[in-house]
Amino acid sequence: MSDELIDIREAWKVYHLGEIQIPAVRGVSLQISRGEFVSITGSSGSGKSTFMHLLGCLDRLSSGSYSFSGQLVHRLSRVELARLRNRSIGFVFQSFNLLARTTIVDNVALPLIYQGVGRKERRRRAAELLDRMGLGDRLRHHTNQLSGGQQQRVAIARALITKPLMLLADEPTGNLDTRTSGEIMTLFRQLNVDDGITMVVVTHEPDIAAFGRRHVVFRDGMIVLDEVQSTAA
Amino acid sequence: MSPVTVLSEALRSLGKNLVRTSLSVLGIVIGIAAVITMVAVGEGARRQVEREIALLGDDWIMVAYWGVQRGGSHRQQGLPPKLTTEDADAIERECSAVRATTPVNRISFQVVSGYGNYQTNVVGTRPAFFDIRRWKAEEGREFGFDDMNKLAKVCCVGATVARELFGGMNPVGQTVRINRVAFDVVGLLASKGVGSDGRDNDDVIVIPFTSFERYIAGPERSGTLLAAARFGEDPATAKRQIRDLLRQRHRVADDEDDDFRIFDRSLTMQANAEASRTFNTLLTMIASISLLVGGVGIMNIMLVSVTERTREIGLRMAIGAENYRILEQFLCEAVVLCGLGGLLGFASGWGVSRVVSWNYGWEVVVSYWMAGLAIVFSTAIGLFFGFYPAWRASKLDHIDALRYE
Repeated sequence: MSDELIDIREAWKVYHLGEIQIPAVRGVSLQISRGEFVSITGSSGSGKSTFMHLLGCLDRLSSGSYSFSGQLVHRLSRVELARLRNRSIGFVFQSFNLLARTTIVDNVALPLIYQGVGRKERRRRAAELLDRMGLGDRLRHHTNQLSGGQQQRVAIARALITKPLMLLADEPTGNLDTRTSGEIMTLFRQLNVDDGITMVVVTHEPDIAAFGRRHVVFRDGMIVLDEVQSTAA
Repeated sequence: MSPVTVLSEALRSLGKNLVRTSLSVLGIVIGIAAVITMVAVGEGARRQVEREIALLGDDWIMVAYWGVQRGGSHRQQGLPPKLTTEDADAIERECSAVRATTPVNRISFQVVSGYGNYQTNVVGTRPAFFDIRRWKAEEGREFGFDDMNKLAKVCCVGATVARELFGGMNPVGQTVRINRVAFDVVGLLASKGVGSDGRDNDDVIVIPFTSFERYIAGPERSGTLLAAARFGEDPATAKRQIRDLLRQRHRVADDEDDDFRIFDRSLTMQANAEASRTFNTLLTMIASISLLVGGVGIMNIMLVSVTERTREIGLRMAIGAENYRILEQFLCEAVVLCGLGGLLGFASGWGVSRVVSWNYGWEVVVSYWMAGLAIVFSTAIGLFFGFYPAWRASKLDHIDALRYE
C-alpha cells in the first residue's frame, strides 16, 4: 500500500446549463498522502466546493482520473460510491446536518445502519465515541438541546464512527464563534496527529486554513497555490 | 440493513410527528373501517341464513310443473291428473339422495269457524310434508297415512290461522269449514314466524292430499312437488337426480327444455341477500372512495415529508446510504403508516359493526381473519401510494439535497 491516499489527475467537472457548458473544475491534479492535513481555500465560485464534492466521491468527474486508496473512483457505480463514502470518508458540514428530534447517540450511529451493524452494537460504539469527545453525559439529549460547538462535535463523532481514512470538512466553523472554532480545529489537529486521519478542510477563513499543514488555493477552477507551511499556526 | 432496523427506523420517524401521522391516516382508517363493517355484516347475514335453514328446515326442494312450453304458452291445465302423485312415488323409489317427497296442492280459501272467517292458504299434502318442512304440531298431532287412506276430513292449522279463527283458544278439537266441508282440527303447528323472505309461514291450513283432491281441489290439479335431500347428501345431487328422473318420465327429448322447474332455498337466499346488498353497495362506495382519498392523502403527506427531509436524505446519501436504502426507508414509512391506519380501521370497523348490530338487529360477525384482511389491504395501499414519493426521494441528487434550504 502506497503512502498516497488521493491521486487526482487532470480532473474536469463541467456543468451543462442547456446549451451552455460551465467548467467548474478545469484540469486539476492533486495528490494527498495519508496523514496529511490539507486546507483548501478560494473565493466563492472558485470551484473549491465542486472539487470537494469530487474529492468526497459525492460527485463524478467529467473527465480525468481519481484514485482513492488504490481504488479507481471514476470507474465506480453510484452504489459503489455510496459504500466507499460510508466506509472510508467522514463528512463534516457547515450546518452540521444532524437529524432533528433524534438523540445524539442515534445521530452518531446513523452511518453504521448502512453497514448492517445491529442496534445494540451501534449504540455501544456511538456512546463510546461520544464519551471520548466529552459528550458522554448527554447521550439521550436531542440535538436541539446542544450548543453549536457541541452539535458540531456530534457531527464529527458521526463522521468518525466508521473509522474513515479521511475526514472532509466543508466550512466546519462557518456557524461557530471564534473560540469554539478554535476548539473544533484543535480537535481536528488531534485526530490528525493522534489517529493519523487524513484531514481536508475547505474554508474561506485564513485563520482556519492556517491550521492545515498544507495549503491549497483555488481560483477559476484551478489550483493557483499549493504550499506546505513550514510552521503550523 | 435488517427488516427490523428498517421498521424501527420508520416507526421512530413517524413518531416524531404524531399529530401529522394520525391525521394523515384518517382516510385509511375510515376506508378500512367501512371494509370491515361490510364484511362483518355480510358474514353475519350469511350465518343467519345458514342457521335459519338448519332451524326451520328451509332446505326443501320444490318442483313446479310448468307444462311443456309450446308456442310460448304454458299448458298447466293440460297436466295429467295423477302426474305429481306418481312422480312423487317414483322419486321416493328411485332417487337415492332424496329422503322424502310429497305432491302439494294449494288453494287460497275463505275458511270459516264458529267464531269468524279468514282467507288463508289451504295446502293438501302427504304426511311427508311435516318431515320435509321440519314442522311439528305444538298441540294435538300431525295427520298420518291412516288419515290419507281414510280420506279423513282432518287438518292442522298454523298459528296465524288459529289466532284469526279461534282467538287465543286451543283450536284442537274444533271444526273449520273449507269449501263448505267441515274439517276437524287435529293439530296446531308450531310457529315458524315470518320467514326471511317476508312470508308468514303460519298463515296456512294443511290437510291430507287425498282429502284435498276429493273435497277441495275440484278441477285444480296439483302442480307442485316438495322434496328433501337425505341427511348428509348434497341437495345438488338430489336436485340432479330428480331432474333426470322427471325428464325421463315426462319423455322430454334431449334437445327440449324441462317441462318443470326446480327451486330451492338458494334462490330465496339470493333474495335475502338483496337487502344487505344495498347496504353493502353503499359501504363499498364509501370504502373505495375513502381508501382512494386516504391513499392519495398518504402520497401527499409522504411527498411533503420527502421535501421537508431533503437535507436528511442528502445527508444519508452522503454518509453512505445507497439509493435503494432511501427508497426502502420511505416506502416502509408509508406502509407502516397505512398499516397503523388499517389496524385502527379494523378497530373502528368492529365498533361500527356493533352499533349496526344494536341499531338494526342485524347479526354481524367480526373474526380475526378480518384483521388480516385490513392489514393486507392497507399494506397494499401503502405500497401503491407510497412508491412514488419514495422513488422521488431515492432519485434526489445528494449534492443538491445537502444544500437544500
